[in-house]
Amino acid sequence: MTHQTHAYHMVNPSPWPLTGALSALLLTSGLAMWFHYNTLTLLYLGLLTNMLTMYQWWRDIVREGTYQGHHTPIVQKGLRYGMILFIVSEVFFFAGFFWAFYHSSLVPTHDLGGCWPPTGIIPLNPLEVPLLNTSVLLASGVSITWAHHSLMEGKRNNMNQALLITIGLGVYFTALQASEYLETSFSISDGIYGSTFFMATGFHGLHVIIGSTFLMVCLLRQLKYHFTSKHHFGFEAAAWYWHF
Amino acid sequence: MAHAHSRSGRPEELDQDGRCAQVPQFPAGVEKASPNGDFVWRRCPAPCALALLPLPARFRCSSKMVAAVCASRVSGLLGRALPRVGRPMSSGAHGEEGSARMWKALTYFVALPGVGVSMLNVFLKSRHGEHERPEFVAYPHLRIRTKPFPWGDGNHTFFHNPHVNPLPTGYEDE
Repeated sequence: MTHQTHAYHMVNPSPWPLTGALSALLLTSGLAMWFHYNTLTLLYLGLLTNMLTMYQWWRDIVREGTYQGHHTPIVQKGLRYGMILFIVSEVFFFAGFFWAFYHSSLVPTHDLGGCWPPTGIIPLNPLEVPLLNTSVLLASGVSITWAHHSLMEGKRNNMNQALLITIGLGVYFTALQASEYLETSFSISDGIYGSTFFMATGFHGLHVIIGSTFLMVCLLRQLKYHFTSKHHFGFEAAAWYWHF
Repeated sequence: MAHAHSRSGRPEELDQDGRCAQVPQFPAGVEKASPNGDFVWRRCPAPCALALLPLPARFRCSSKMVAAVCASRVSGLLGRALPRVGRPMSSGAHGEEGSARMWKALTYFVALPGVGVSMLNVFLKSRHGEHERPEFVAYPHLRIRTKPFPWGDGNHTFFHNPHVNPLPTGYEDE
C-alpha cells in the first residue's frame, strides 16, 4: 500500500502550532512586561514570532491545497465548517461589547448625570463620517459579490478589478476611521461612554484591517492563478469574513 | 484514460486489474466530478446494464456476475451520484450566466455613487465651519486616570489631539 485509500488529508508534521503557541505566550507576557515594567522586548518578540507563524502556516496550507491537491471535496467541507465556526465565535465576541453598550446606555447611572450621552460628552454626528463609513462598507459588500460572480464565470479582468475596488474601499474605511479617532472630543478614558465606544469600534476597525489583509492575500493568489472557477475556498472564506 | 475497446469484444472479459474490459477506465483514484450525465454509463453494453437490475443472486450467471462487478466499478467512479442530463442552477454553488454583469452594474451605478453622495454630504457639512470647543469642566466621570498609559508620559490617550482633547487638568494649549 503506497497510497491512502481515503480522501482525507493526513497533514505532515509541522512546527507551526508549537511556534504559534509560543508566540501567544510571548505576546501575553510581553504585554504584562510592557504594562508593568515599561519594557517592549518580549512584546516585539511575540509580534515577530506571531507574524512568522501566520505567514508560514498559511503558506503551507496554500501549498497543500493549491499545489499538492490535498483539498478534496471532503477536506474542503471541513475547512468550510472551520471558517463558519470561527466566524460564529467572532459574532459572540462582539455580542459582549454590544451587551456592555446597551447595559450602560439604556439605564445610565447617576454618576454620569443620569443621561446618555453622559454629561460633558459631545458625540459624533452619526450622519456625517459614520454614515459615509457605512456606505463604504456596504459598497464593498456589493463589489466583493461582483468579484465572486466574476470568478465563478471565469471573467478574470472583472474579478481583479472588483477585488481591487473592495480592498480600496476597506483601506478608505480604515483611513476615515483613523481620522475620526483623531477628531473626537472624547477619548477611551472618558468613562463608560469612551470605553464602550472605543472597544466596539476599535475591535471592529481591527477586524476591517484583518479582512482587508485577507482580501489582499486573495488578490495576490488570484494574480498567480491559484483559484479556479469551481474551487476557490480561500476567496470564499475571505468573502464570508468580510460580509460579517 | 485506458481504453479497453481495442481488446476482445466479449462483454464479460476483465482486464488484468479485474476491471470490466469493455468500459473505458479512469486511472485509479481519479474522481469524476462532472455534473453531466454523459458518462461511461451509457457506453456500457446491454448485458452489463442488465446486471444492474436488482435480480436475486441465484439468477445471475457468471457473465452477469462479471457485469455486476463492472457496473459497481462504474458507479464507484461516479460516487453516489446518478447520471443526470442537466444540473439545475443553485445560486449558492454556481453563478448564473449574467449575474456577474448585474453585480458589476450594481457596483458602478448604485454602490459607488452611494459612497460619492455620502462623501459630498460630509464635505458640505464640514464647510459649515469649526464650532467653538466647549469650556473645560473637570467632571470626575471623565478623563479617568486610575493607571498611567504605558506610552509617553502616561497621561495622553493614544489618539490625543491637543485641540479637542483636554487633559484631566484642562486643555494643554490654554
